[in-house]
Amino acid sequence: MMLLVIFLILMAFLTYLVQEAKTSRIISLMAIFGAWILWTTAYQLSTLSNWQAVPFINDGLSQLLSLLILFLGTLAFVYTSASMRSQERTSQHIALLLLLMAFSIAVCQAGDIFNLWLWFEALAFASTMLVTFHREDELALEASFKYLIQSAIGSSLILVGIALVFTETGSLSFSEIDSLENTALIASFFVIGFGVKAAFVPLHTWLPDAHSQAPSAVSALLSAVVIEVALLAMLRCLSILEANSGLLLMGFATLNILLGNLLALEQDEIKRLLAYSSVAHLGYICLAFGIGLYTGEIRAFEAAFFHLLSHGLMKALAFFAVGSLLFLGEGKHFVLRLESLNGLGKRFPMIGFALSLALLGLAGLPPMLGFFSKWQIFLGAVTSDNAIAFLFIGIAALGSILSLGYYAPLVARIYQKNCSELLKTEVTIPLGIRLPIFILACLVLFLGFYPSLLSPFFRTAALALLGR
Amino acid sequence: MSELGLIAFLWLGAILVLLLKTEASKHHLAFGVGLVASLLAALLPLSSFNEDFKQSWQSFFGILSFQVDPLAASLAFLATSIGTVCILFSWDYMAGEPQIGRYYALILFFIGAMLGLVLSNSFFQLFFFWELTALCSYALIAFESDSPAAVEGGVRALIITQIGGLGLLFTALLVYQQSGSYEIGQFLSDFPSYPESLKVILAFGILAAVAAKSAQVPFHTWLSGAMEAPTPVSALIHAATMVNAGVYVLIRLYPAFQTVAYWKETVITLALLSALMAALMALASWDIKALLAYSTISQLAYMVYAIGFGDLAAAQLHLVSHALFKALLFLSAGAIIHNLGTRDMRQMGGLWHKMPFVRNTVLIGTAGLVGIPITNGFWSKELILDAALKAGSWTYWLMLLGLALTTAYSVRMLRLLLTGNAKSEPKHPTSLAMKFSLAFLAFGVLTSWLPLSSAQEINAYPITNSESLLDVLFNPATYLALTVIAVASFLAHKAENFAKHFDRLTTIFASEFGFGSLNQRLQRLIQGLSAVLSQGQTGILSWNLVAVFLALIILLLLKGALL
Repeated sequence: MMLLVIFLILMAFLTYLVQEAKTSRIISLMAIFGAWILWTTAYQLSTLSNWQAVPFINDGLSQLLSLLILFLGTLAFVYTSASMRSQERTSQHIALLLLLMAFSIAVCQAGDIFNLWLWFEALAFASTMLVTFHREDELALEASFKYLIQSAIGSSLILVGIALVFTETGSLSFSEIDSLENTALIASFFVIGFGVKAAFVPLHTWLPDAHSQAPSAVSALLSAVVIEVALLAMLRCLSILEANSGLLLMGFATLNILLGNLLALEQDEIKRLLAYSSVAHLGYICLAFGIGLYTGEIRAFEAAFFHLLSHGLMKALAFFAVGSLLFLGEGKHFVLRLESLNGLGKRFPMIGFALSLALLGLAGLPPMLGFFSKWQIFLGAVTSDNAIAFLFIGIAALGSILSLGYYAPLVARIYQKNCSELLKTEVTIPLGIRLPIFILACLVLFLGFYPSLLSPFFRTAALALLGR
Repeated sequence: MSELGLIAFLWLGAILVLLLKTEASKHHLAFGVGLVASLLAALLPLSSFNEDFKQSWQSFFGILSFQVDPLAASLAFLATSIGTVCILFSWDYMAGEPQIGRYYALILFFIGAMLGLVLSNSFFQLFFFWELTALCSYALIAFESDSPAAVEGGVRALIITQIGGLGLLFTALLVYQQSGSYEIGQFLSDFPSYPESLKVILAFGILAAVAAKSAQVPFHTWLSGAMEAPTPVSALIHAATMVNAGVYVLIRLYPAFQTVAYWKETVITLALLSALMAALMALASWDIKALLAYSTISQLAYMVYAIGFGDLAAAQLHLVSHALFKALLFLSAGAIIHNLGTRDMRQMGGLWHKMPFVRNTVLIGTAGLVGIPITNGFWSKELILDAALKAGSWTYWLMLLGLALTTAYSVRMLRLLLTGNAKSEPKHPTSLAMKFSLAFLAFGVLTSWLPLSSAQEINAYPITNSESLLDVLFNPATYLALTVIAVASFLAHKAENFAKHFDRLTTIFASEFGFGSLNQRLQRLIQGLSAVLSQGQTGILSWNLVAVFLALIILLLLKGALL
């Protein structure tokens, strides 16, 4: 696993140095291929390795997350190389994508708090650069600037937390630290610091801008992986503290669910709507973790990982499908309104169908993956047999119904008979864009019926987080 | 296994329909799939009667479990056969529709989901298919997605049934928490040992789900909005099958819940309110489909009412009767709408001579709805009224009033449709496919009670209260009911200008007793909240940072309380 990270970083630099679009594509293809090989070889081992005093943990959590990141990263790579055919700076973009993959995998594998923080900063660097890819666009610049500043504030708060841990224990390793005093103080810094990056409401204000201004493949990764990685990093850090932050997480999660859904309701920009939907879905994931922490119900942890994966696939699918509309706009970057979706199902039946699967899945309707993972969250809450968990899950259920108020009309738009202006073009969508959409649509539709393909991952990841 | 095979067959058919090219081939394939599925559904009891199918699927979701008891089998046959008839009817009704593939695919997908719903023997599956039927219903209501009314009606239907559906969701989860299994059979036998408080939660949770799905008060507002769907869809989903799902679940779980305190009383009260209020709404409606929708609410309430008195057989019988006569009425209305191009009954009239075939089917359907002897509605409705009378309940008299109202709105509808001067000329004669669909359902209305009365074993819950349908004939209450019908139709016929004298009342009825505007107000409230919150998203960096630090400060102050 450690090799995986180092390899990806090296290949990213190589890709960047090449500059020439075609060669850089070949190099990055090799990089991704190699990464998959490294992942499969490292998958069996559960180890703690050290490289120049940079410790890596290879446990259930990092395996699951690196699988998701690698998978979505590969699709994003295919998607990006197809959609950026006409643009300059392809090699930089792809190099940054590789870095994003490498750093987010590294965050999940960091063996001590300080290195976790370092990898985290590196990740923020990569993602900020990716958000500002359309540098000629003022809005994109503004978005990335806000992202940078807020994320820096978050980092400094985390650093304060780490300093407090170090002054008390003299150690930073996850495995060595035990029995801390002042845990509530430290926990507050961790929760707010990582909370900024995980888009906890009301710290989420950077997210709608950043996720809607980034190129679609990047939006997909940011929404599907990066904010979730921040949440997991927070949980790793909180796991060394005595204090039980379950209740606090449940509270933030409920805020996220309610506010995310309410704000998405009146949105008329598609990508912004999807960004708010990510705020809400982070809430569901966080709620499941909170219930797990609060009641000790392992099923809730498993459900959280299930929903993390399922949301990742569905949201990536949604962003990819929406991104294909942007592709029609001749490479220019522009704001996509809801009306542009009108008649998508008529003009591009496969993409329209895939997008409706993603949207209905995000709303939690069967037979999509989102139904099954939400069911697991509810099940985790109910089997924990805890009145407070019950209360929170009830609010979450209402929020989930509320979300139908914006997902369902979108699906109706897709099947309108009159095409929007944008769709009245002769441009065809290349295979490199259609293929990732098709693969994700199949997974969203069928994976739910075979949860046992993945449930061992959820179990080991849950155990890893519990420190068992 | 045959159950799963049948569902898979229908769903495969749906996918194939999407892949075909021409309109005709799509129609023929959909019809063929429906026909074969109906035959297979009719054979379903032979293959696996009394032989429950269980298979461990994925430990995540418990055991895959189906059962085919007479109740489930009759509903499965009803869903497939009426579905096929509706597909046949759509041949002309939907002619020229560019997205016809999606239409047929959704109908086949819906029939499969409905089969899954009635055949499931596990709460997880029940909820899965329950939501699936809601999804299909949404997609078909909003089928004409260029019309904002259709989309709004669809979203409203989806959201309201989902709110009720929470009751089913939490029932399923709580049952699992209690017993480690989702199986309904096991639940029914374990239920007496459950803690009292849990019993109450489950019983009333299911009731909420049932009321939402079967459009009972206070969840009834979605059904009139659902009338934006193409008429064959209204006939299939919003009259004959999906709206019955609530009643079906109530029948299935009644043995467990009957002991819960005040549960039966609540069921009866809900049914009374729904039956009377919906009948009054029907009395004030000018839209023929809305009228039929209100009538559906009212008739479903009769079934719920029978369940409240424990007469499951009567409820089941009325379920089948209603499915047939209401599908017939809807399709007849569809034939009229297709011909005249309007849903407003004020634009109709004089159809007695203009559309003789449809006139006959409307008359048969209405006879079933009102409960004129030898139609299936007569037997089932008398049995329901009988159950209340035998229980010595005073509510019997209110239900008799409901019968009078049913007669009144039926006579009003007939008068508006058939008599008077034709306001618009029929464009073309009723096509053969439409005639055949109507004839099939009319035949069902006249005869469906025959097998149900003779073969006791077809009823999941044999008729115990009245031994046999023959008793209905020798029961004085039957003649009282018939007198009520006669008097009510006479009065309704005389009081031609009823609506004009009671202006204020009719506005109340037409507004669904204010529930419609309540929905809108709630919707506007949420939208307003959303708008206010959006204003809070200034996008100004300084304010964003203020939020971050404020959150930190609050957390530091609260640290003792929260951590």
